[in-house]
Amino acid sequence: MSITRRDFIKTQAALAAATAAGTTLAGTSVQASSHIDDDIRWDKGACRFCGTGCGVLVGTKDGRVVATQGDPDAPVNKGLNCIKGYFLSKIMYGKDRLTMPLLRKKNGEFHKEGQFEEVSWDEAFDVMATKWKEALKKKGPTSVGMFGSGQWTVWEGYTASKFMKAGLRSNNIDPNARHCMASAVGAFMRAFGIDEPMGCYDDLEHADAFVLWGANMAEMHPILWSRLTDTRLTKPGCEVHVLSTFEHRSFELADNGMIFTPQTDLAILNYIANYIIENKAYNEDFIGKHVNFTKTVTDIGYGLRPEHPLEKAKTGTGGKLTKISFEDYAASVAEYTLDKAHELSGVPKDKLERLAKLYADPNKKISSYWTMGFNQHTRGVWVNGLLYNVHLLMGKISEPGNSPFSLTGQPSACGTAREVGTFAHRLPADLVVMKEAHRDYAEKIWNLPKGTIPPKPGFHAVLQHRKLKDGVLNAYWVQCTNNMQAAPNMNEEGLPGYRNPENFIAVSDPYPTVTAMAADLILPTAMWMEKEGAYGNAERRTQFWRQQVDAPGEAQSDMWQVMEFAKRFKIEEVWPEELLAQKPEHRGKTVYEVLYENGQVNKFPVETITDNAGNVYNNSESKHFGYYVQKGMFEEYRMFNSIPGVPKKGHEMAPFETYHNARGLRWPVIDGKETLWRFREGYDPHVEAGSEVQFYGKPDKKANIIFAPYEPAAESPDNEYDLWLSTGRVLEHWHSGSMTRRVPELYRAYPDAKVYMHPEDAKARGFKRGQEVMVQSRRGEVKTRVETRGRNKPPMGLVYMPWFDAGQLVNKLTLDATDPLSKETDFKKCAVRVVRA
Amino acid sequence: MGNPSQPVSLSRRSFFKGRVHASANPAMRPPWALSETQFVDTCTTCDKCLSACNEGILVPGDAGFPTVDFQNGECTFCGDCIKVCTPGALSINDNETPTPWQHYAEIGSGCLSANGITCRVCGDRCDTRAIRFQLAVGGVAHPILDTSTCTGCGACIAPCPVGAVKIQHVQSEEHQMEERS
Repeated sequence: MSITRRDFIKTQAALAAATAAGTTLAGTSVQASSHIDDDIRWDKGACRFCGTGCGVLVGTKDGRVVATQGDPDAPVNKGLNCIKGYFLSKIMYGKDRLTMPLLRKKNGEFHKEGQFEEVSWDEAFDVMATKWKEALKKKGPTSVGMFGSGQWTVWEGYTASKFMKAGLRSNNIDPNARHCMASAVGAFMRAFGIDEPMGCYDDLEHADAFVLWGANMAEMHPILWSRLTDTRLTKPGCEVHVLSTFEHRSFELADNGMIFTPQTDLAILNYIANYIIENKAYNEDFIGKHVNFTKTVTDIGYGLRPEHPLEKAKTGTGGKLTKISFEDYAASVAEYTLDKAHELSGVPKDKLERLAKLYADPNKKISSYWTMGFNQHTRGVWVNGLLYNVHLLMGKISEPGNSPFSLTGQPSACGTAREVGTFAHRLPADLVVMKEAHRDYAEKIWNLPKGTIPPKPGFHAVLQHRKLKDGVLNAYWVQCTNNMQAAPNMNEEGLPGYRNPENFIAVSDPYPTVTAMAADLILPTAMWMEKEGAYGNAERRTQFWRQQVDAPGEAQSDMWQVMEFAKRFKIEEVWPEELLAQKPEHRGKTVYEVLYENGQVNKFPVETITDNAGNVYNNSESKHFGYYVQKGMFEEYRMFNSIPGVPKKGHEMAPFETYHNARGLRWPVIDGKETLWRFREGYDPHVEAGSEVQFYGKPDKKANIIFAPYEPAAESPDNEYDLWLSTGRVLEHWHSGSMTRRVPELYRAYPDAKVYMHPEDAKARGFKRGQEVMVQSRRGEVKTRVETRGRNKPPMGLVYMPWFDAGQLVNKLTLDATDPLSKETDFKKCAVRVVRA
Repeated sequence: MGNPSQPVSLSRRSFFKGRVHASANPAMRPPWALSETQFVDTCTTCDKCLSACNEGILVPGDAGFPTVDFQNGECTFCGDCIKVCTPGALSINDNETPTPWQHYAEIGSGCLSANGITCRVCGDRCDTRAIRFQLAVGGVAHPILDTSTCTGCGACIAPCPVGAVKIQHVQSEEHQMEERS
């Protein structure tokens, strides 16, 4: 029988119509459970992405991570996962993974304008060490610098910080957490004298009401959002208030959603304080016993270059606090009436009043959450503090459900960037380089001569780019972050800095990111499960994982790289004679030997690493260096919380092994017990019996209420640039997208960035949805497409653009205005216009 | 490109048969297509609709007949394919076929949200809001698909990271009756 294709297709159609009628087709069976396979070894780990710190089970087969799933035993996420976490197993296997060092060369030699060529680690480090030594010799320790990460593991950050501050005697090391958490840190220190939230995620179940201040938890912290949603849907009377400069997915759950004009959160918070005082709702007993009233210096500028007109116009400098009375404070907030808050913010009065009433209700337990809306703010430290003011006035703090809580964006912004002191002004465990007693204590633990650690803070993130451009910072190493894409104003600061012929830039990364491609030397890096690691999440939870697989090719961990690079320096090359004379036993040694073969870091022999099921795991660094490196680093770091004379108590960690057997522990860990709520008797062992509450970070154990006024943003829309630009993230991608955009499924889910715009704003400019447009600021332009629907609904006059897309570098547009106190950039506010492409 | 008048080889045939068995879905034609039998009789495989489609979702299928591939994008129902269809295999007959087709999306059991994974990709792409995510206790928001407002545009198909969204192929009753008889 012969049948033509036309006939055949007709037959096929009839058959299908018959079989499909009334039936439901089965969906594809792509499920987490389909990954479960008897040959897969499963072990606990922590997610590589945001600061939530979800526990994941990591499945490995034939030396490759093949699957991940939410860990049902993890207290943070209880088996849940977000779409990024679901695809974690693919982040290490992008096609363009780097496996060899790459150096720019011409005619067989390093050349700033050369092409990248594969080189050995020896050649890479030889060239790099030559450049660093040249800079040190010519201009001293301030001419070298490092930029690190809240994605470094705890010991990677510790190793790097010690190398720079103690080894090379340069405080020019700063983490990308400067772009992310610095304002939160500044406010913690000013209000409480000790970093990180007093509460924990358990507050998500204990609170009666939630207020989101500049946090889109539904997309950026989806697992915490799940917990919050559960409470809202199951607890009678529970309500959710959401404040933002544009409508986003978290508004779906909002009982009271508020869109405010950028920067006016300062006024809204002062209005709430005023409302509480006017209605005598404040907790008089609490503020009498546990609070000091202060005010901060005002009109402090915008952290721009000193020659900028805004900097010349400022009348105040710094963050000095002056004690005031309660009456003074009440008088300061009195001008923030409902009318004024409404006029400035544009939020309807009934909504503002409802919010104020909520905070003022003594019977409502309130948890407030914020992320980048507060922190990336030219008054970030202030605005964090203004929210503490509200909680402190009511005494709604440090107990289950009453919790002002700073969420973090990176997996170890807390554990690494903050706790081990990788900021330009910090040392481990909240110590700072400016204080002699703190330097002395660090030098004692590290067995260094007195005076090794320089007392002046180094260059912070934004200043590093300025100093590179100006040729002041000449030898520079970036690890574990994509700062060319992340930092503001890349056209005017970042790129000219990297390409300045006076400078030598090395970038360690698993992938050829925008940052790596702008460098002179790229070092291939072992990532995530290719090394034994530890992260500390937003609720002070320290979590460990074992090395699951080996890194590809010659990729090595950041810690290995720093330690090996330290071998290239003789101590005589980096320390002056007066230091050597104090510790003659260090003479002739390398920096590596002085810092890491010091009898402490190298104290623990290599162990066979096993889990409870008896599976054996590799540990590449320990094998290479001949001792249990991670344990040595962590145990030495722990001395900052245990050696007599601890200058800042309250950071106790458990012994190293404990964490390998736990689903994380929240510090302070005392007598094997974690601390859920700090500063309150009964929950925190540091609080003395009978005192109820002690903010023991401060000498008088009292927290600071700090008055700060509303002051305008650094740049606002005008006739020429008529729209606010806010930047941020989307659920499907994490930060610069260097990992998530290499996962095909995530790429497909959200391929390219777009600019979210109000339909009326689009109409007024003659744009159709999906049309190609140029977004322009005074600093650069980016081609993108218009989106008038979907998850973000900006008000008229504001546009929102995510920054994950290396093809649309939104930081060509942003302004490098920073909070003068925290030095954190305001990525949420600058002026742009949108025109036809 | 296949020629509709060419005989089918046995191996080709079993290949087609296998596909019928696997998907139970016949090829999806461009919007406003005649019933499958009429369409196949009328279409000359001139390929004009393929190049007329700005979205690039029309591709040559079995025997060169145009089919919709939602992996390339979505149907905007712009009607450009009809305008170029001279034989009339695609045509808007206001009385009989007011809608371009009756297909609608279906979310399969592989859906990440159904498995405790926060993902909202399909809902975000749905212009008619036929896919909504309902906040729920015990984990993540669940997708709810309203087939009465779903246009079958296919915007939700390609972005689904696990391929869990499919188009449920519906042929009008008359067409089914006609084909059964």
